Amino acid sequence: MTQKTIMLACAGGMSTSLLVTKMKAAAKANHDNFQIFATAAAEIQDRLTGDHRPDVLLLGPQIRYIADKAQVVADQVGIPMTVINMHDYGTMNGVKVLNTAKRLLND
Amino acid sequence: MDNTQSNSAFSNFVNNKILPPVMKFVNTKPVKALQDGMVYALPFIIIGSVFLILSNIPIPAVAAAMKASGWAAFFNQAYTVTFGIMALWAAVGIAYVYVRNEGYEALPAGLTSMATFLLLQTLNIASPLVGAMGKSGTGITNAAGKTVMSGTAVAANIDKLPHALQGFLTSPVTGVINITWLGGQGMIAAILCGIIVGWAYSAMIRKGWKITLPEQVPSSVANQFTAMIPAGVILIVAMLIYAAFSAFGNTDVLQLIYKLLQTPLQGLSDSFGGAVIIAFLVPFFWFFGVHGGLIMGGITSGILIPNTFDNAALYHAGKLTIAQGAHVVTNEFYNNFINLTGSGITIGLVVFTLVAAHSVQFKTIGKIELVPALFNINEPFLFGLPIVLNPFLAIPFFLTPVIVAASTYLVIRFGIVPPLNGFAAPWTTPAIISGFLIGGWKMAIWQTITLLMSVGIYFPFAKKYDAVLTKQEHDKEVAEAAAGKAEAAK
Repeated sequence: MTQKTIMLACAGGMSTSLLVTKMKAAAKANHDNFQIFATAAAEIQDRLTGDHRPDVLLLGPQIRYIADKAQVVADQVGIPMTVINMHDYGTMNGVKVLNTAKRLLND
Repeated sequence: MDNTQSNSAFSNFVNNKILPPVMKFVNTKPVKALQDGMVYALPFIIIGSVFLILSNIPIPAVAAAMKASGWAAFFNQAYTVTFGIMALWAAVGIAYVYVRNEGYEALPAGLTSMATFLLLQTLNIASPLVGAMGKSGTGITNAAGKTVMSGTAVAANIDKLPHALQGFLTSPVTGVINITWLGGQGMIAAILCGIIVGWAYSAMIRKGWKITLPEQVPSSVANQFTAMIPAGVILIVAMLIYAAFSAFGNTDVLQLIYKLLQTPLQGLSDSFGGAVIIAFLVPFFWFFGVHGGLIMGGITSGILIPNTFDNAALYHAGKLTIAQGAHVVTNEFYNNFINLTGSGITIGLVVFTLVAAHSVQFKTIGKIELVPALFNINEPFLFGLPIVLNPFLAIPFFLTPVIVAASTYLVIRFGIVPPLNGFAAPWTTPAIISGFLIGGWKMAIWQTITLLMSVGIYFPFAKKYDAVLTKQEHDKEVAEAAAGKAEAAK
């Protein structure tokens, strides 16, 4: 299986990078091969239309107000996206968020 | 998580009636361009403020030594071309982001905005003699800052000269760019310039107003011509505006915007009411789960950064007092007080989890939040505890920033602690350290006091919520145990 990339975005990419660390740990425990990284909301467009675009996009709940716009871009490039569940985000539940991403990738 | 699903009439009202228009506004192209465009100015502001501190170290002996060695002047040079011309960065960054978001090649638009911004201002500087002369003049000071000739004496001496020479000496200096307008004073004009140029540039490209060369021409050559028509049109219009202001008003657009728009806005933001409203709106948005810090920061930074700039200039001149016009509410007031340890100033909850929490939920989230809190990040609390839509924690969450903002305003206003010095500490700078950087040791102590306020305000509410959680967890355990027994009995 080729390595899939999961991109998370929040306001500045700061708090989401905490979650990324947890997700990486969860992926390692499962022996899943993912590249996971966090970025700022302002970067979403560039990242999605860039050369190394991710395979799935997850938004932090605090920027769900840009979800509609991000969805348009995600649809254009044909990748799935969703807003992370608030509770999973707050508890920094790497396992659950990773599963969300996997579900989106398999759909 | 029953609390997060609260469906009270009020939260429905806010979610359906208040948030959608606000979000619509936040998502408009100009506001997005403003928020993301200012980001390009930030590194220069932060680097520049380091040079500012170096050129004016708050220890008199060190500052004097710096000056004597000549280093202060070099640091000042570096400060001038970074922090000192922040409006120029904003003008470029905002137009750039606007056009980038529209999906076109954006650097030419940023550069067009820069040219337009410069075109709109009067490119001369009043002769320093004019400021020095007369009763209200500054007079002439020597390198040590001592007045060696008073304003009246300067005027009396100039008056002795032949008329032609007087006129020559007092005429404006030309062939220069006046950096006054590239700094704080030009900020609102730069923002407007960036937005309007970004909009006009994108509109023209979209309409197909560009020079299209035959396909045989290499694309790198053809690209050079894409910008020519939009940039040309924008600059011609800007020139006509400049000409009209110069011919009919004997002024320029930047001065007008500064007087009519920026000064009132800065005054509004820099008031007790302004501080309290900003402090209230951050948790207000967050309570409904959207990033209040980002939304309010995007809207207010265009006004609060010029306030920071003014204070930096006063600090630089050694005149940083309220009486001499220092602002109370600057961008650091926002970053390093209102949002200290995360929006809602949730350090009180961190302390609670460390010393008094019983419920598993509180303890678990508290552990996750401990380190992020040092860097003013508190999403684990906001979403995990949660604070979002949680009636148990709503009161302290709204109250703490408002009380901290109000009291901080008052202690600075009445001179108990000195005004913020204009150092732009990044918002992730840990508490107390940031206080020291933005206002010296007194500010660091005051910041510590605000942290204690947070503890005091949050504690009783956190205790109540913790008791509720503990009971829920206990009930669940009992229910599970009962279910397990029933299972075993079968």
